[in-house]
Amino acid sequence: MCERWGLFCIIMLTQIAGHLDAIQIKGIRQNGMTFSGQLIRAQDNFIEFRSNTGNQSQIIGIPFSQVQSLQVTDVPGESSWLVNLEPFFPLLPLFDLHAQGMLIDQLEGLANDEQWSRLYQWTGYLQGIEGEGAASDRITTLRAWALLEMGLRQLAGELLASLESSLDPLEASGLYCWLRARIAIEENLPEEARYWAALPSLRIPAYKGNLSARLEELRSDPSDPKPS
Amino acid sequence: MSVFLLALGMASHPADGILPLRDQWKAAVLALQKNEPAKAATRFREFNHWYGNEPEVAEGTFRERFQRLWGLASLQSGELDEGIRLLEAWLEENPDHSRFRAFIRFQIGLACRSSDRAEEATRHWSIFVTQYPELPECALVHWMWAELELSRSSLASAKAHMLNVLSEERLPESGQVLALAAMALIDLSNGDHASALEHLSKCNQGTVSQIWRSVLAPSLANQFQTNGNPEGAFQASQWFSTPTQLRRMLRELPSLSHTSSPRQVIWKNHWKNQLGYLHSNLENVLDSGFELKHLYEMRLQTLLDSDRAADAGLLSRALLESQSDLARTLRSTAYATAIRASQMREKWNEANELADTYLDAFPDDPALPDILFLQAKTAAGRKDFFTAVDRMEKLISRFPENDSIIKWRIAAAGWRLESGQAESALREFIELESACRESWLPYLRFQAARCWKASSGIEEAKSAFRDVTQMKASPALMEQGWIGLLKIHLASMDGPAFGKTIQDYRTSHADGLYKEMVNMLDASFHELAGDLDRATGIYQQVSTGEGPIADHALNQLSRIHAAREDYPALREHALKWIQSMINRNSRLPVRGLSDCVLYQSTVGKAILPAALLRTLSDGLDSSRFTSGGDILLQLLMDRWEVYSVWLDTHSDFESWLKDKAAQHHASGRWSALSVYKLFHANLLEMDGRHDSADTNRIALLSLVDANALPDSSLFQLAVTADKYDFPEATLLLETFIGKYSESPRCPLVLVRLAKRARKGGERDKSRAIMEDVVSDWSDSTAFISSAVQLAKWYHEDGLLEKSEFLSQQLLELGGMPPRETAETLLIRATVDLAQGRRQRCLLSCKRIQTLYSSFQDIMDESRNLLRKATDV
Repeated sequence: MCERWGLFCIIMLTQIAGHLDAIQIKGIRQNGMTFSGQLIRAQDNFIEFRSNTGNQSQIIGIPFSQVQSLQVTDVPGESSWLVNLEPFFPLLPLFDLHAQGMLIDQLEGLANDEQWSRLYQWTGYLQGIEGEGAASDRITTLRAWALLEMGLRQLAGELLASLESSLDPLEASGLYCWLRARIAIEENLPEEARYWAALPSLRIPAYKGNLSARLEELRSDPSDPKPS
Repeated sequence: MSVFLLALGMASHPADGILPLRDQWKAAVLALQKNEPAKAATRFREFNHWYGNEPEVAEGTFRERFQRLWGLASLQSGELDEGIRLLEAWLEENPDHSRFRAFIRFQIGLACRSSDRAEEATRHWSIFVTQYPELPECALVHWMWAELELSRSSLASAKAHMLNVLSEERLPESGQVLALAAMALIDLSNGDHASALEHLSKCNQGTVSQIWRSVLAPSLANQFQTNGNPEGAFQASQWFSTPTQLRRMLRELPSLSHTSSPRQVIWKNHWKNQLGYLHSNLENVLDSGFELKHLYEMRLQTLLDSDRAADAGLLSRALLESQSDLARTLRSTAYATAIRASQMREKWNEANELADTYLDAFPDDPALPDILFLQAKTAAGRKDFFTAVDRMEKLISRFPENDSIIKWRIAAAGWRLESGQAESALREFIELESACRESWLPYLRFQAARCWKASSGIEEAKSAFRDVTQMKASPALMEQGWIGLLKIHLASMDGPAFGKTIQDYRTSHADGLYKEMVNMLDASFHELAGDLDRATGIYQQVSTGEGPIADHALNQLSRIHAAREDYPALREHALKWIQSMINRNSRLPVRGLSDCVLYQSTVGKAILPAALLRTLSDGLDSSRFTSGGDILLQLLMDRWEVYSVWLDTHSDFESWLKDKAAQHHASGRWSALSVYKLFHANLLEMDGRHDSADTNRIALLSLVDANALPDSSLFQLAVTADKYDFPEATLLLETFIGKYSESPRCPLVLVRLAKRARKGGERDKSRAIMEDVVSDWSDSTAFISSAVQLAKWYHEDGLLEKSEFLSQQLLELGGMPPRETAETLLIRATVDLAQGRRQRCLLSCKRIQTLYSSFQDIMDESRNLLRKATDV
C-alpha cells in the first residue's frame, strides 16, 4: 500500500469521529489512480484529505503536481463553506468543469446572502482559472452584480458590456438581462431598460426563473409611450 | 382499501388434508404467489379438470375462492376470455359476497376493454360507478371510459367522463396534471381550443405539465392564429420550448416507484400508460422536424397580433443582434416584424430606417418584395399617400409575377383613393374584380363605393354600399357598408333615408362591432338637425365606454356645452372627464382642462373642487400629469385667491411657482421642475419681460437632465439654447430628435439643426437635414417654409436643377401662403435666368410685381432681377 502511494503520501491512521460536515472530494492522479475523501487543507503544494475506510480513516497528502483533476462531490448546505475553501485557492485550477459549476452555484448563494464583497473576491479567484465559456460568462455576470450592489455602477456596466461580443442576446441569462436593465434605468435609458427587462420572457423558452418578478417590475409601463 | 389488499388473500385454503388435490392446489397457488400467472392458470385449469367435479371442490366456500383465483390468474396471464367468464360467473354466484366485488368488477371492466368488448366494459363500469361511488377508483373507470368514448369519437361523452375524473380530489397532484392534459386533448379533438387552453393553464406544476404544455402549445397557437384569437395564441406561445429542452425533459420524466399492493398496481399501471402516452407524443413531436425557427416566427406573429408591438420590436431587435445560426435564418422575418411593430407604434421614421437598413444590406434577399411593400405601407401610415403609391408602382413593375401582386394592387388602389385620385383608383378596383378571388369581391365593391363617393358619384356610391350590406362578407365589412350609406345620408341630411338605414342596420347588427360609431353618426345627425338635447343624450351614452370613439364623444359634448354656453353642464362634464382619466391612470384630457379655463374665465368662479385640486397638484409634483401641466397651472393662476387656501399656502402665485420649482430642483425631479419653471418663464414673457423669461429658461438648461424632460419642455429649452447659440444647442436639438422622433415638433427642431449646420459651414449636412424634413414631414406646418428654404439653398450651392425642380413642385401645390409663393417664384425666376429661360423669368417677376406688392423685400429683389433679365 505504502509503495503504491510512494513518496508522495503521508499516512496517518485515526479514528473517525462523528459525521463529516465538510467538503468531499474525488480526484484522479496523473498516473490514473483515483482517490477520494474529506478535504483538510492545502499546504506547501500538497493537498491533504481524510480518506475513510471502514471504521478508520487515513490522512493522505498528494503533491499538486501529481493531481490530474479534482471533483467536489459534496459540500455543506450553506455558502459559508466557501470561507473554508479559501485556503484551497491554489487547487482551483485542478477542479473539473462540474466542480467549477458547483462552485459558481454556490456563489449565487453568496449573492442571495448579500455578501457582495466576498462574491467579488470569489469571482476574482475563479476568473483566474481558464474555464469553459459559459462558466466564465456566469462568473463575470456575478462579479458585475457584486460591483453594482457595492455602488460601482459604471464598472459593473463596463464588465457586462465586455460580455456583449461573446454573449448572444438569445442565450443571455436572466441575471445578465436583469443587471443590464437595472443599469439602463440608473443611466436613464428607459428603452434600453425595457429591452433587457422584457427579453428573457420573450425568448423561447420564456424565462421563468427566480428573477421573473423583478424583471417584470423593470418593464415599467406596458403601454407604448407616444409623443404628446 | 382492505378489500383490495385481501383480494388475492391465500393464507389458508380448505383443500388442506386432501393430498392429491392439495398438491395440485398448492402448485397453482405457489405459482400465483411467485408472480407466474400463466403457470398458475395452467395449474388451476388442470385442477379443475381433475377435481372440478369433486364435491369438496364444488362446495360453496372453496368454489368461491377457486373461481376467483383462477379468474384473476387467467386475466393476469392474458387469457382474457377465460378470466372474464370465470369472474363474471363468480359475480353471479356470489351476490352476497361483498368483500371482493368492487375489485373483481373493476378487473372485468378492464379486461373487457382490453379485449375490445366495449359494450360489456361500459356495462361493468356503469355498475361500478353506481355501486361504489365512494371509491377513488371511480376516477380510473371514468378515465378509461373517456378514452373509450374518445376512440369512438363520442367527444361530449368523453368530456363528461373526464369532468368526473377532474372532480376527484383524491388524485395526486401529478395525476391531476395528467387528467387536465387528457381533458385538453379531448378539447382539441372537439375543436374547442379555448377550453384546451384553459385546462392546460391549470397544469402548472412539474415536468409532466411542462412537457404537455410544450407538446401542445405550437398547434394550439397555430389554431388560435387561424381562428383570430390572438390573445389565446399569445398565451400558448408562452409555453414554447426548444427541442433541446424537450429532450432534457424527456430524460427527466419521473419514474414510478415499485409497488406490490394490488390496489397500487392498478394505479401504477394507469399512470404508466399515461406517461407512456406522453412519452410517445413527445417523441413524435421531436421526430416531426420540430423547428425552433418556426416557433420564433409564431411568437413574433402572436406578439404583433395581440397588440404587443413594443415586445415584438424588442424580440426582433434581439434576433437582429444575435449572431446565432438560428437568428440568421430569421433575419428577414425579424426585419419585417420590427418594421410592422414600428408602424403599429406610429414610429414612422424608425420603420423607414429599418427598411432602408435592410434594403442596403440585403438587396438580393428573397424577402425584398415584402420589405418594399412594408416600406410603402409606412408612407401610407404617415398619410404620405403619394409616396406610398409611387413605391407601390415601382414594386408592382419590379415584381409583376409575385404571388402577392393582387394584394399589392388592392393596397395601391386604396392609397391612390386616399391621395385624391379617386377615378383612377375606381378603375383599378373595377378591373381587380375580375382578377381576384370571389371572397374579396365585397371588399372591392366597398372600395369602389368609396371611390364613387369621393368623385361625386353619390347614387353609384349608395348602390355599391347597399350591395356590400347584402353581400356574403365579413360582418365588419357589412357594417362598414351600412356606415358608408349613413354617412352619405348624413351629408345630404336626408332624414327619412337616414332613419330607415339606421333602423335597418340595428335590425341586422343588433350588437354590431361598430355600434358606437353608428350611434355617433346618429348623434351628429340630430346635432346638425338642431336637436341638441337628443344629440347630447347619445354622446353621453357613448362617452361611458372606453377608446377613441368614447373620447370623441367626450370632445363633442364639450363642444356642444361650450356652444350652448351651458356652463353648469360644461363644468360637470369637464370635472367628470378629468376624474375618469385620473381613475383610469390615463393622461389628463387637454380639452377638459381647457373647458375648466373657459368656465373660470366666463363664470368667474373657481371650478376645481378642493379634493380634485389636491390630486392634480400632487400628480403634477410627482410628474404624473406633466402633459397637461401648463393648463393646470393656468387654472390655478386664474383663481389663485381660492386655490391658494385649499393648497394651504399664503404665497402669491408667482412666489408659489418659484417655491415649487425650488423644491423640485432640490429633489432632482426635473420633469416637474421644468413645468413650473417654464410656466413661470411664459408668464414673464406675457408681461413683456422677455429677458427674464429667457433667464428662467437658460437657468433650466444648466439644471436639468435633458433626457428626463417631457416633449414640450425639452423643445422649449432646445429652442432657447439655439436662440442664444449656446454650445449645447446642437446636443439638445439632437437629443430631442433621438427621444421624440415622432413628435410633431420634430420638423421644427430639424429645421433649426439644418440652419445651425449651414451656419457652421456644413452645407451638405444642412441640405441633407432639410431634405429629410421635406421628404418625411410633408404633413407638417414646417413643410412649405422648409421646402422654400431648401430650394433657396440649392440655388446658393449651385444645384440649379434641383432648385428649379423643387420650386416647380411647390408652385404646383395648392394652398401655398402668399409670401412663400412669392419667394418661390423669385427663386425659380433666378434659376430660370441662370439657365437661360428668360421668358419664364420675366413672367415670374411680373407676377410678383402684380400680385405680391406687399412684400417689399421680395419686390425689391424681383425688380433687380427683372432689370437684369431685360438687360440680357
